[in-house]
Amino acid sequence: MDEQELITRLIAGNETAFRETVRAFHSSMTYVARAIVGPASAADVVQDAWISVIKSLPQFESRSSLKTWVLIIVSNTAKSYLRKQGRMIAMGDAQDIESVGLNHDRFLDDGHWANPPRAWDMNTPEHILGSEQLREQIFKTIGELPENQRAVLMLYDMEQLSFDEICNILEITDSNCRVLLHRARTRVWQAIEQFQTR
Amino acid sequence: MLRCHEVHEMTSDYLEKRLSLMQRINYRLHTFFCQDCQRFFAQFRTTICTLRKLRVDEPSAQAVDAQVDALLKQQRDQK
Repeated sequence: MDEQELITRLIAGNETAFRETVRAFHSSMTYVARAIVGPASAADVVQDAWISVIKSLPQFESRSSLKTWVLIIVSNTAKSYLRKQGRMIAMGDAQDIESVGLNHDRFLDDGHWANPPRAWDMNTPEHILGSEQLREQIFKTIGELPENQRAVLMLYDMEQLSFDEICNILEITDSNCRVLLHRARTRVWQAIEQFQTR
Repeated sequence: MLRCHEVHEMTSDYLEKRLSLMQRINYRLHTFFCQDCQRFFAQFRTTICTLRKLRVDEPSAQAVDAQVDALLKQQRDQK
């Protein structure tokens, strides 16, 4: 089913199309909501966002993909939720970015590796994902990332949205987006390294 | 010449082709001579490829049904 057909069916109130769309978008929507309002209120935000999506679908103009458009609605709903609660929106907070860098004990004062990367036995994605324990460890690491890092990692590497789309959805600058992505990837790399060299 | 710490920090930007020509040349020069950074680069690229193959578990049919039912109820209540 192409996107236009899906939209037509959604506007017509087709319940099957609605279930399929919820299933396909739910994880991404939850990641975006969690990144902005935190885990406790994310489900409420996603639910409110769906209501907005349903109401606004007839006005959807296909300037972006349906998914990006839906994720922008989640982001706007989440920010509105924060405003109602008198909370600040701080997705790209520089202090937060600074506080989650790579452990500096990996490097000497002269900038060279103090603790260089060690060889991996499992050195292809297939090998890595073939290990159930390691796969679980990767998911655990992603789950423990700061919300903004997890949202960027998930939207860029896993959902493969563009930097522009992510900056638009999360309302962060391009440079913050790049830093958050690199920090998140570094955490995952470290997790794989620790697992393989333990 | 870049230091290993700087190479680490630049690796995502290098892979996303977001470095200037001079930065790319410096990056390549460093990794040509530094075996530790060669290993880091290879492992980091593998990490990214792994993430791109990783699929988040879709919500269970029950969770989807619960969400859809709640939404449909909310819509009905609003009418």
